[in-house]
Amino acid sequence: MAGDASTIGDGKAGSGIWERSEEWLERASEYLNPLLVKEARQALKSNQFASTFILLMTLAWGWSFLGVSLSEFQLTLGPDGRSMLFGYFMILVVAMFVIVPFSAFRSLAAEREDGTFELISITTLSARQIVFGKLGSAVVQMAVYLSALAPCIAFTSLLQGVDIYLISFLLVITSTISLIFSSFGLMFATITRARHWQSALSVLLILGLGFATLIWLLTALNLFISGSGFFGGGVLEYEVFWTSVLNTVTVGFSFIALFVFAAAGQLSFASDNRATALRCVMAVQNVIGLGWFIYYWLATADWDVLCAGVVTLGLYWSVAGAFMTAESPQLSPRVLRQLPQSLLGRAFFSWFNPGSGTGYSFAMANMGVAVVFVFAMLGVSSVLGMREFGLPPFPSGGADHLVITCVMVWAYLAAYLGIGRLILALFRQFIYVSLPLAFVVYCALHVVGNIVPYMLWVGADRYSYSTILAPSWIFTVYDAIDGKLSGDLAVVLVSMSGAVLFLVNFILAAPEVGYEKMAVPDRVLKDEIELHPELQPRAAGSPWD
Amino acid sequence: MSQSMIELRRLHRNFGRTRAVNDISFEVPRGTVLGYVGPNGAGKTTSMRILATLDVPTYGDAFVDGFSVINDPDRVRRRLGFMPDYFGTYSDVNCWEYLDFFARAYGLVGPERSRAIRDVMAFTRLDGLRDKPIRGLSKGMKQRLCLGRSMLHDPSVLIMDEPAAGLDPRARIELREMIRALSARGKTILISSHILTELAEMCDQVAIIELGRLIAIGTVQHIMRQRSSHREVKVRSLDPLESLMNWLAGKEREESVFDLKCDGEVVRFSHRLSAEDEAGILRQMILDGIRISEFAGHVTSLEEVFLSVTQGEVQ
Repeated sequence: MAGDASTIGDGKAGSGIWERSEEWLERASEYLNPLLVKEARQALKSNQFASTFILLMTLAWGWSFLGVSLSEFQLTLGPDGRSMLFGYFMILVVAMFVIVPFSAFRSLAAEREDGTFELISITTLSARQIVFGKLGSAVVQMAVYLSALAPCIAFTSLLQGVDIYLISFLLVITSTISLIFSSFGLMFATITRARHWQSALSVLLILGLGFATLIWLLTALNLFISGSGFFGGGVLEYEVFWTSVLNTVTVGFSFIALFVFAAAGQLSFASDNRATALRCVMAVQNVIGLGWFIYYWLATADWDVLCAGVVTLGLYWSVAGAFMTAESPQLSPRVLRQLPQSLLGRAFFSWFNPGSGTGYSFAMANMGVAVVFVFAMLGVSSVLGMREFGLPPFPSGGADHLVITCVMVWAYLAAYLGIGRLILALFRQFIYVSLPLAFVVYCALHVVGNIVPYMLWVGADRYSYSTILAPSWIFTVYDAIDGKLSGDLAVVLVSMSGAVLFLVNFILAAPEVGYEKMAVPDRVLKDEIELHPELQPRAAGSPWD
Repeated sequence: MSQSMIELRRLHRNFGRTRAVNDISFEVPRGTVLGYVGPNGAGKTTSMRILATLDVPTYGDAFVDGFSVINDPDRVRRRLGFMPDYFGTYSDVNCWEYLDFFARAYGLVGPERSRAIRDVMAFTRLDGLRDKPIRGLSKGMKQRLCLGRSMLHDPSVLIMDEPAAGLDPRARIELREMIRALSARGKTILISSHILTELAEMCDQVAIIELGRLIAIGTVQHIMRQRSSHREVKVRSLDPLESLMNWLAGKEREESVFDLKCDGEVVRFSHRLSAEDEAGILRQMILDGIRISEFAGHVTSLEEVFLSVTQGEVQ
């Protein structure tokens, strides 16, 4: 509802251009996130924002004068356009990679430290809206910095050695990465409320962002030096240009979604369902990751790409699985009200419900999809041959190492997550298991599982892979990829251990699937009808309900 | 519809081994102002935070207008305004912007939002300070602004944690008047304060907690009657006090009254009689020719009740 202009704002209906603009902005702000409006108002009055903006402008103008005066007349004739662009790019990257994400982190952390977050959290804004509001304000900040440097960057497109594609490529990738860092910063801010830990996290984040800035600047520098032919013209015809942009954007946005939902989960009320949205994002990420590896496998006809894909997904699910298995197996009545009731609904959607057992099964199932896909492709290619379908042929040197790697990755994931889950279940009998505690337990588990066998192996004066190293996934998977484990006892031991731990954990997860849907109280139903009289109760009978 | 707007049902909240809230149950009827009294560390703020859906109980539940704070926090939040014991303000915005932000956060749009902001600014007498930056506000003004924030969405229940702390006498009086006005509008209010004289003036009932446990709840007089086995009466006479003392001494011998003493121009005594029997004593005095100018039971103050029911222990 936009409302009539006379009642909006201070109630003064103006006729001047400023008054009309204000009224228009006021109307437009009705559709924006309240936090975004508040942060924009704060930013306009904050010294920090003004000083950063002025510093950015000063640096850009300074570089313009310096670059033009040093290049004299070479700018239009030589390739100095790239040097000019790189200078502006450095200023932009520092702003986008350090200032914007750190501001997002501090903005949320400060709300929690000052107690204002509590006041916001008891309004009708959901945790997700709060995080999106903060992220939206980071986007606005990015847009302001981009617009400050836009005239300078546009100026370089007129110079030799720079084209609009290079500029667009850099801006799209830089903006996407800045958004990923900002969402990560928001998630980072939700880890703790204690001031001393927030200070420690601030230092960690600044260091990490500084390192990322350096890496990206070096990458860009390399692109500036070596990519002259690539960006010289006809770049749109290069498949690698499109795939790298698409790859960054799809993977990047999936991580933005993951960080945003994780931050919202951390901020949401204790009885809320914090898991399902995150698991949906993880499942999508699994599909995106697998999809990209399949694409590169098809593009290169190299089966080792699939091998790398399985190992990468294994690492991903070991981190994601560690956090999922830390969830409490108890469901709040609020979550129980939303459970599916039908057999079909329960069979498919129970794994998206919160709980350590469902989390374990979810991680293993997603990893299983990747492994089964590789096995299916190997099977099809060995039976049919794939060349006539335009697909890569069966690996000429045999597929032993690929099969063993896939089995090892799945088995290690089953074993490490399974042991971690059992330890956490034991802890849960005595204390509250928090995410940081689960993180410490898993870190200890991986250190013990990898370092201890290595010490024993070194102590035994061995020079090649030995079964002593079987508990260590780092050494075993490394040798499996190298094809050194064919017929080794470690393969059998790891596979058996993984299978046994998977079965034990899967059986122990059964009660989490057995939860019954809880009826919504009449008081709540009545209130729902009062709030949304236009909504009709959905007819029961869908097999997915 | 439930008549209790606030209900605590076997509420427990533990922090490690500390039982901040230990099995508290009570109900607050619609339109009641309940004073929440207890020494520092008694569990007042913890239980108020649970009611405001900022914390969850270890065991038990709390309800606002029949909705569980654990299972339906979103519905509770629509009905509840919370004023914590800190300001929670942004220094670089003005009063109107601050209220506008929270009004938007409560889902108020367009004219409805403008009206709500105007109303609370008028109610809290902040309408002259619309464009004043929050950093320039006094403590009392900030407190009024926070009260305004908690009222923006017209909640039926208000929870106020130490709203009068640190305010000067004028600001305290103004706050008291505002709370009375809110009470007159039918709001159910749970308010904690250490300034017991003021609480007694604005509250219909008080709940006293100590060491996380509810010790007493009800009106001040009701609690005192529950806690005390006797009642003190003071009598003033137009006749010489000796005749009154002699008359009462006779009653003391009959063991109807006890603790008889002369206190300046007033005679005080205690008894364990019913209200009817107390009236009987007054009637007898008059019939026996003693000219009584004042006959009153001692009015117990909230401070006296508080001191009598609490032990001053902390955990």
